[in-house]
Amino acid sequence: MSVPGARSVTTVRLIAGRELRSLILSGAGGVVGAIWLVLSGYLFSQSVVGTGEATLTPWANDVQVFLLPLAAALAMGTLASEQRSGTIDLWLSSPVRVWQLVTGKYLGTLAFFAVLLALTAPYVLVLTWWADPPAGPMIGAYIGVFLFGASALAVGVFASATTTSQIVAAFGGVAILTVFYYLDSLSEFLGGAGAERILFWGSLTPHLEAFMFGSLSLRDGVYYVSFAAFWVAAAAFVLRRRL
Amino acid sequence: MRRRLAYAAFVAVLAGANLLAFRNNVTADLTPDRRFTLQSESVEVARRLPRATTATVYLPASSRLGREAKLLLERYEAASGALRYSFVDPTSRPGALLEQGVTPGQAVLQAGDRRVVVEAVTEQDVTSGMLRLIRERERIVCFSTGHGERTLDDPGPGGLTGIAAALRAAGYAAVALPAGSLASGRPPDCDVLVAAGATTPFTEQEAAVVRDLLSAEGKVFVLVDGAATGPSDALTSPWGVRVPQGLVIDPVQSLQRDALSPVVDRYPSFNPVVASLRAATVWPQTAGLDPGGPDEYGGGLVPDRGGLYVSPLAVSSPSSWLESGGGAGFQEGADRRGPVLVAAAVDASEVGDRERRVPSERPRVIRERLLVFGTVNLAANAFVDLLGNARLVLDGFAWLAQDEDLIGLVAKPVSPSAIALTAARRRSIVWWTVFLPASLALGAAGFAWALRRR
Repeated sequence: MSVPGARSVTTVRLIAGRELRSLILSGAGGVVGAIWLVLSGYLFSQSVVGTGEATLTPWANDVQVFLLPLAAALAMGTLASEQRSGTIDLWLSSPVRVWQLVTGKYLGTLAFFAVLLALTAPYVLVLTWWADPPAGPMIGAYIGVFLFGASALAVGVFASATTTSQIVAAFGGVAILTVFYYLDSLSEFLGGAGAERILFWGSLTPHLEAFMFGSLSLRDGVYYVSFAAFWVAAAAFVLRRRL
Repeated sequence: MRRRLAYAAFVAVLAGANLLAFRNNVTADLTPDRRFTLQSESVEVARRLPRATTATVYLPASSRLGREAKLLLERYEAASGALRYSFVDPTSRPGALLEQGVTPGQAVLQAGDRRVVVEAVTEQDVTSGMLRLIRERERIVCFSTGHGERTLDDPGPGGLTGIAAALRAAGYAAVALPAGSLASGRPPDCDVLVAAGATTPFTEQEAAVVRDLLSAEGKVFVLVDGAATGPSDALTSPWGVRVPQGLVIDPVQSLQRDALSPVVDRYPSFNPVVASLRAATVWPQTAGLDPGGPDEYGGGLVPDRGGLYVSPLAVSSPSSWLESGGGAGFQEGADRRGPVLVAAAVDASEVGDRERRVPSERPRVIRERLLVFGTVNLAANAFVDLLGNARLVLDGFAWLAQDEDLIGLVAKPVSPSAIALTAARRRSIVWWTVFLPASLALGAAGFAWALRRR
């Protein structure tokens, strides 16, 4: 007897696994990942050499800006290339629903991002070899960066659903992410306590602050998860309308 | 249509989840010193804030200090419900600093027409500031006059205009008592009595008033004039702290190699006056104190004085000595070898079973407190802004005048883990964190490309 929903989960998992394999084997994922790792490593080494402090906080703060193009680049092909080549029709002619396809593609890209984050493990090793940093703030920084990246990837998948061109998807993704990245700065110019607070809350950046200092916050976690869920759902909605 | 409704419902659920999480936020502080968790004293004080209390922080919100300040203020905001905070970037609005009379890093707490400047956005400072803000009346610090004391309106190097301004910024009123007024009895409305560098003796009548004051929940701050210790000694001796003649000499650890201006960085006490002090302090022409107690620096319970407890607050370096007579250099037998005690706090209420409680809604501990600094120059205009001097003096006033709520509030040390960076380690960091991860990713990409070509 099958458990209700188990079939959907299996389908999503299969699509995610296929997307992850595709990113790894295409070579393009590796090149994009390598570029990001160079930039990320540079930021980390500069923060440690500059301050002499064994902490991931400055890295988590600085690396956000490079997560925007990384997410857009990793996600640009997820749905755009399938639409361009027409393979999306093959997907949907099989018993796969649009939301399963979009969710699977998103989770596969997210898994690839998790692999890239795992490759930053030498940062932690370096810090713990030569100093005695508290584990809590490092765990918080990683959770925060992962959630930020997960949110950014969801926007990238949405942008990829709106077009058949990967380049357009990449630029579109970066454009949307840039708006959400700077929304808190915009709030300072608009003024007015209500508008300011809403814009501040809507921005991607402030929600990472607590994490990177080692303070986990339910509010910020819910924000990132719901942000990602919104854009993945929006991607499914748009894709359904385009087909 | 059904699909649109389903998407709309999904978005509504997400919005609802955010609203719920926003209103019922739960945090987990993973920092080892629990830096972002308010102590119960702070929560209690935050709850008592009046409506529409504001905190304006003079830091860029996006700076590291600004972000940490924001996290801390968020906790106060959640505990209070009445607090709203904002940031002013001192680089883009330098005029705001002048207008408010603050420096970068400080914060202003305001409720109605009451205003308190907070030195730094740390839990101890903010809670202390909030407590000053919600007091029913302003704390009044009275400076004695008529005995050669330094004055509040003297802008010269030996005057006290600097510390008077700092006191006002911290929410205190600093007033000078008319000469001779002490003889007529305990000055009304004075929360703290200060004798700042008396050079001529107090009359027996005045000394008796000070003694009575100290015996009846009084708070007295004696800043000694190192060149004339007698008048101060007469005030402090009955409380277990003698001020012998002579100055502390430190040829090694001193300001600009002036042996008469020792630099002190040893604070062997958990007393709140020095508990959060991380900076060194300068003690020009300071006398040495002699509390004659049981521990290394003469602190501890004073024998035959009931609950009287003397805390050694600051001691000079081991290279110093107390010069008691003429002659150059240290004279064995005549001079006293360092470290020399230069500041002491006397508290007549710390020992639990000797606490006297008065009937009220809440039990209240009666505290009699005396603070003695070996030199008034520490607080004088010429030196008050050097190193941690202003901080130490203000913390001294805070300890003397503070409500009981803050007594248990402990400063949380910020201790970032440091890496000793050698040239080899710098190179290793770059290799391990820039080239290694990227090489692994590129290697995997190349391997995948080769596989596909085959």
